[in-house]
This record gives sequence, structure tokens and C-alpha cells, in this order.
Amino acid sequence: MSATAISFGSVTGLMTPARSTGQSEPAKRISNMQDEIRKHLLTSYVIAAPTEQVSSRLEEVWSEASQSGWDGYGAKPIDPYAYMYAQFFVNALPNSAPIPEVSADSDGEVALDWFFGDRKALTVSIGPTGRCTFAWMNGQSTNRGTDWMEDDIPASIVFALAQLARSARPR
Amino acid sequence: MARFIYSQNKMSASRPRPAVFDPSPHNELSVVHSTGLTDDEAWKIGSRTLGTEPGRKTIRGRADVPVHVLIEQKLRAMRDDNPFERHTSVLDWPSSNDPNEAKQLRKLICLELSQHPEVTLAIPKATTGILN
Repeated sequence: MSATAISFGSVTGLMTPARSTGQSEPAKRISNMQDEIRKHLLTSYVIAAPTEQVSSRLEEVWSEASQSGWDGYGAKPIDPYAYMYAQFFVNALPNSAPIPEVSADSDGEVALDWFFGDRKALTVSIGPTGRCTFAWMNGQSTNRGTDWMEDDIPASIVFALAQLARSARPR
Repeated sequence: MARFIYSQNKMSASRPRPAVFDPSPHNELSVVHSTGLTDDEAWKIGSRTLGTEPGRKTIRGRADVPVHVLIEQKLRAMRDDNPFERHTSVLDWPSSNDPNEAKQLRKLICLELSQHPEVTLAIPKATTGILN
């Protein structure tokens, strides 16, 4: 099962980009149908708006953090490959997933943050090699780790997001 | 301690984001020793930093962090008054031979600081002339 097929809270993910490796004709047809359905859903304002909102925010941050020293403290500009991986990450988020806030790290990576209330938060930095460094807190529990984008959002991050979404409503 | 924020993407509507406290690229966090200052006096120090470095065109906000919150994270604040009076460096960020682990440890501390209930975000009043 694709990592992003995991449901968030009590809401089941609608559709993530089809990632089936099935080579048979029926498997290809199902995969094409999934793609068509997803495209159709994304034309719906209700579903497309949050995704577009994050993509548009990502572009704004890219523009704001494109020069060396953009943060007033000598930050590196966002690495184009980090930006590319961040776009991929955002596009791969299930449509029902909570929407992240976007910022940039001083080392040129893109940061995506989710805040769900008191000590319920996840932060992910996406680097130019697809490296995802993350830290999250859920009450008194804290976790951290590193994973890589391959053909999907790392399962460890999907797990963190699902845990937090299940235990709290986004603020 | 006060960390001046010159970039909109480092803050949300009500809180500093974790990236505000990111000590890269020098593994030091530049802050101002604000103990004993009024709000106006703190903003006045901020306004004097404008134009001193690339990217310091507008102050978007200020993250106020009590010193004990830094100590809880095993960080050390050292006032050096350089390059201006009350300038302070937050040091002792965790290091590791493994760059992945080093980044993880920094991110967790940044997340802890941004979510601490005693860490607050102050927004400059338009009348101060700091926010362009």
C-alpha cells in the first residue's frame, strides 16, 4: 500500500497520485482511471483550493528567499532542488491531509510545518537531495528522524501527521 | 532575549515558526538581551539593525524568549555587545559527526522553542515606522 493512502483522522484520503507498479492491462487501466478521477477532483474548487494555496505559498517563499542573506542573518537562498522536492511533497499530500505552513531554513532547505494545538506539531525540512529531516511533538512525546523522498512522502512522516491529525484539530 | 524577524515566512499570525530559531549557517543564534527594556526600547534597538546586513529592510516581528527556556534546551546565551550594545549569541547548539542527526537535533530544539508557551511573537506597530 502506498504510504499516502493511509487515512488522516477519521477522514479517508480521497486520492493520491497513482503509484501502482502493476504492469498488466487491468492494472494500467485502473491506474489511468485513478489519475482521471484525481484530476477531476482537483478541478473542484473545494478540493483544489487548499492544494493550490500551499503551492502558491511555496512560490511566495521561493521568491522571498531567493537571494543570499534574505533573512537578515546570512541565510543561503533556497536550493532549486530543495524547492523541486518540496513541490513534489506538497503535490503528493493526500487531498484530505492537513495543510502545512511554508517557510525556509537558513541552510537553503524548505520547511513545512503543521500546528495542531498545545505541543502538537510537526516540522519537516526538505533538502536538495530529497532528504526530509523532521521533528514532531505530541504532548510530552517528541520524535525526530531523517528519511528520503523516493516515489512518495516518507512513511515516517505520514505516520507522524496521521498521529497528530487523529489527536487534534488543526488550529 | 529577543530575536528580530526580518522575513514574513518565518512567522505565522500568532507565533514564530521553528525556522526563526534556526542557527545555521554559523551554528549561532543572534539575539538581543532585552531584559529590563520596555517594548519601545526593544523596537528601537531593532530599528538600529535595519540596513546593517543584507535582508534587513523591514522588521516583521520579534520573538521574545525567556532565558530559562533556552537553558531548558541546554543552550547558552552569551552577551557580547558586538556588533551593537546588548547583542547576544545563543551558543551550544548540539553537534554531531552525522549531519543528518545534527539537523534533527537542531530542528527539535527549534520546534520546542517555537511552541513553548512563554515564547511570544510581538508585531511592530505601524506607527513606529519600522514596518514598511
